[in-house]
Amino acid sequence: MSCEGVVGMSLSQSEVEFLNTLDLLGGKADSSTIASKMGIPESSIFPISSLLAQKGYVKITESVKEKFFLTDEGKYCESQGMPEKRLMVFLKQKGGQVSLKELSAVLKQNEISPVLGWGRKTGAFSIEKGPGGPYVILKKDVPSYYGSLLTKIKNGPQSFDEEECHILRELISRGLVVKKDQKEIVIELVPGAHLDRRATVSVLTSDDIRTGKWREISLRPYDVSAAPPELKIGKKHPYLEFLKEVKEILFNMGFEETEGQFVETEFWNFDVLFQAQDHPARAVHDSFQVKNVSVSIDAPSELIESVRAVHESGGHTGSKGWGYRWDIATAARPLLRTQMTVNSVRYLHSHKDPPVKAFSLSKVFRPDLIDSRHMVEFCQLDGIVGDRGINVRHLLGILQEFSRQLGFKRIKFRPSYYPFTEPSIDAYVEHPKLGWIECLGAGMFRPEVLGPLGITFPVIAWGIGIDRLAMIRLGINDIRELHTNDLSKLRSWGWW
Amino acid sequence: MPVITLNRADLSSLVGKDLAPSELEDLLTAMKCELESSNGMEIVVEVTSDRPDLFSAEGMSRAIRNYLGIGSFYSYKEYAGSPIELIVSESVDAVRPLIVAAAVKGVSLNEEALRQLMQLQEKLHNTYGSNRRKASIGVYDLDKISPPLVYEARLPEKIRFTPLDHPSELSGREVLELTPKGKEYADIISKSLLFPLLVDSKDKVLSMPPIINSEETRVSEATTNLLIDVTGLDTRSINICLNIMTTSALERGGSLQFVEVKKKGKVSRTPILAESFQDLKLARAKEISGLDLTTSEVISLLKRMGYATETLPDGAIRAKIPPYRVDILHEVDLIEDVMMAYGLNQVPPLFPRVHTIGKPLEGSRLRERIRDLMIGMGFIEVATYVLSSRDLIVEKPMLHERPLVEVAKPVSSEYALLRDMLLPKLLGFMSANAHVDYPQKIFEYGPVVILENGAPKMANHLGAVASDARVSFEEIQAVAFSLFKNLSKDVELKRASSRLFIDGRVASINVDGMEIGILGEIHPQILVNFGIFNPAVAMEVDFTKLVHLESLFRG
Repeated sequence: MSCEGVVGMSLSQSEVEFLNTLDLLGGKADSSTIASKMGIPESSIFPISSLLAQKGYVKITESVKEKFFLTDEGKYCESQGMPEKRLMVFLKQKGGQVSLKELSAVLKQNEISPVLGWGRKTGAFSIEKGPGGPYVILKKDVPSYYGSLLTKIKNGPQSFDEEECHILRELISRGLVVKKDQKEIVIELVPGAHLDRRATVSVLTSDDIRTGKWREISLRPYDVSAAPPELKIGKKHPYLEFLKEVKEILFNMGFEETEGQFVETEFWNFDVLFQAQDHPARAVHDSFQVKNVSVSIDAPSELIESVRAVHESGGHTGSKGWGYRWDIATAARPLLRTQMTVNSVRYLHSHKDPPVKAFSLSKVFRPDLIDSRHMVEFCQLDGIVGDRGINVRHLLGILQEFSRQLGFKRIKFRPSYYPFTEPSIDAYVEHPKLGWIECLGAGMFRPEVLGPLGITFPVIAWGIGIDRLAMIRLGINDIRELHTNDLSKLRSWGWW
Repeated sequence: MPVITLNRADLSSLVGKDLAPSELEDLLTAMKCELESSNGMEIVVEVTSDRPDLFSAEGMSRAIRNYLGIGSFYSYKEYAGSPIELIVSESVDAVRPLIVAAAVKGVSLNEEALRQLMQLQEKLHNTYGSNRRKASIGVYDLDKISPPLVYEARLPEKIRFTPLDHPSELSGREVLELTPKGKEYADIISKSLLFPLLVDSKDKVLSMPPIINSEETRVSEATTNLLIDVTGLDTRSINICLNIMTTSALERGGSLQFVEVKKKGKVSRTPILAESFQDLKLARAKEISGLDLTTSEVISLLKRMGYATETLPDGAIRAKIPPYRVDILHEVDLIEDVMMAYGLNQVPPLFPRVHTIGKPLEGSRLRERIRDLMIGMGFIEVATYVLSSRDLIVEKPMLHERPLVEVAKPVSSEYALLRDMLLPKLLGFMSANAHVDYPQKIFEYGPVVILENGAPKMANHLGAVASDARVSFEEIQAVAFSLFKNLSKDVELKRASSRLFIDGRVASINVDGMEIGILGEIHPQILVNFGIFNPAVAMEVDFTKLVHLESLFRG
């Protein structure tokens, strides 16, 4: 709980006492008066009164005043008498003259020579030579006002008339009195200030509520602008939430979600997608082969044979094919899927009646040098739209609408290359700060892809490197931060 | 996709028109290229692998000329003299059986032209040549060679020549051991008894394919007559490489001299620049593009892409495919070219009126419920990678005896296995946050891959870990009970055992008579292995079998 820094009209117990004391003193008093009345050191007065002043209860007037104090020597003289006075009394007892040696009976050693000097100057004492050494003779009475003034200073009153000021200067020069600057404060109740003198508490307890004690207490206000401690809340991962937002856009556009397996066969991952087994296009997707896995091509033999035919000679698709001997052993090799289009063609294979609209959004895996922009595991979105009469204009329409839904107002296109689509298109969307971002790849599935699958209607396929958009959306510069290992970062990660 | 460097002045001179940077950028984009960077005269672009003819300035300028309407249909000058003879010995059959070659006479080269030629050779090697294994290209100064040529295989120690950029003569074996290229490509031929060698009639070595050329036949700016050979394992690949090299070199002037390759009495003339055709029906072009095109429009668009055409009696358009276009397999490939010429940004987008019902994946609703409940219980969601290190999911949790899907050639040992459970990943997460404020409560709901009899199966797991200076078994027990209670399921815990947990403080989670998970207090040895110095309780549940829970009106 943060309850430091009291403001406003709340009062502590000692503040309440202070105000009550000031009331008794007629609403105005200086600090020493209040201190003695309250029975606390004067040094405690200043902090209490300044808090009360902040709260508007009192007004403080400060002044710096000259104040005179007795030195230790002064205090001695005040109680024992001035040295000249003591000497005069002694001389009178001894008949008006004493030997110097006898002076120590009434004077301290350090007093002797100053008082003889003073006596010579004022004509009160004189020193004569005698047979037994020098002796002091009383010439006239010494004044008594020095001692009186010392007593006056000791007792406090500090107002002095002109004559006293003159004597005071002498006392100072004789080292019996010192002058000091002293701060003096006068505290005065502010007239009209609301004086709620109830003591305050910081915590409202269950007991206070039950017993009705809450009516008697004043709850201390808090510094509402002070920062509270950080909560360790449970919350969803921002990256996964972004992916969910994207999926929701697609559901609203009428797409059905589909998912496959991380471990695929080359057959579905490459061959169905008309990527020749020996073509550089297959190197485009350098892939992760896997160990410890035994899989077979999960496809009917007609599909396998159609794929073979389309690769070797184009089959019945009107294509020339790649013109090489297709190898089923290569096709049967397991690997980690390299793109999400594999899910789309699997979906098509089991949905041969138009219309179809499906997408999948999940992890794909590709060997790459890992850096801030490349990771071997990342998310990809792949969508398809198939129906009779579907064409490139519709493809552009889908891309445009999807990017609008993501919040991009403008989109532009350029021709591109994907082994399984023709025409192939890349799209750029305009970000208000970053400019044109290339993020969408698309095309119409090739006849060599659709033919073997038994699909008789045109199909648009489009994909998006969703991680790139996620990075922009979440304001991060390193793709690895999408899967951050930093708990503090997740705790403090704010949306938008 | 290959990335190539072009010089704007060189490109302008080949095109025959001064190209402003912005104009050039638009033209390159129209050719499927993506501009990577542009620095004064130098332009770096990514080209697409289906268009090897655009791997250098020569082919690029040809495409740009056509696109701008200042080109002409493809043709080349043929050298008037007789072809060069190339005799192929059967000795190469066991090591590198195929060779094709061509010569370009009267070419004019400069520094940039040489750079482009070398770049083209390298890009072809990397793509169609499968890093020289399937096809490798040699380029020589023909004037330093005395035909006829002989391609044969010899014992490495019988081979002696000075390789390019090397100060002295080397034997075949030394070439592999001592030259950089030799070391890089040695494995293509090193296991063979005999090494392939291309020599001329005076036994001067041209090259030891696919490794390196000889210094003696080096090409320079002064070279006017070029010999190009491609050796390899695959007919289609070597012919593509030779066609692209030859047609590109011819863009710098000169005429083509054929090479007669003679093997076992059979003679073939290379390069094979035979005419090929692709027919295109207007209706198909309209159907795919969505554009209302006429035959004459299609013909003029095809012309901008470099195709000569004729109209067949049935109205179909027959396009003549230039020898450098290796990507035309089907009429859809021509339709793409038609659309490239039309300009994709001129095509009006049209949102398809295809009415379907949007539907999430089965299990999505359950997943969201679980995520909501977990955050309600104060757990923060984490997202870890599916790919894992052996250290993290096998060694540290001390779970050795189980099969896992393993990446054959991982890029890094950090990403070498597919996870089959989440708890080691979550403990790994916690170990990276040992210094962060406790209590820590984390969860993940995500896919794992379990290997059963060699068959990988994906499943969706929930993993959750709570850790603080003090934790109790009850804490995770309460989480499990609350979770299932809020999924309207009773849960039964039964005594279990696992290396991850302390004996006697671990239970299996049973729902509907199925064992679907485990929970307990993590064993201190495991905590130490992970570098976690606060006790932790955890659970992991496989929700795959409970997907039916999400149906809205289940019985």
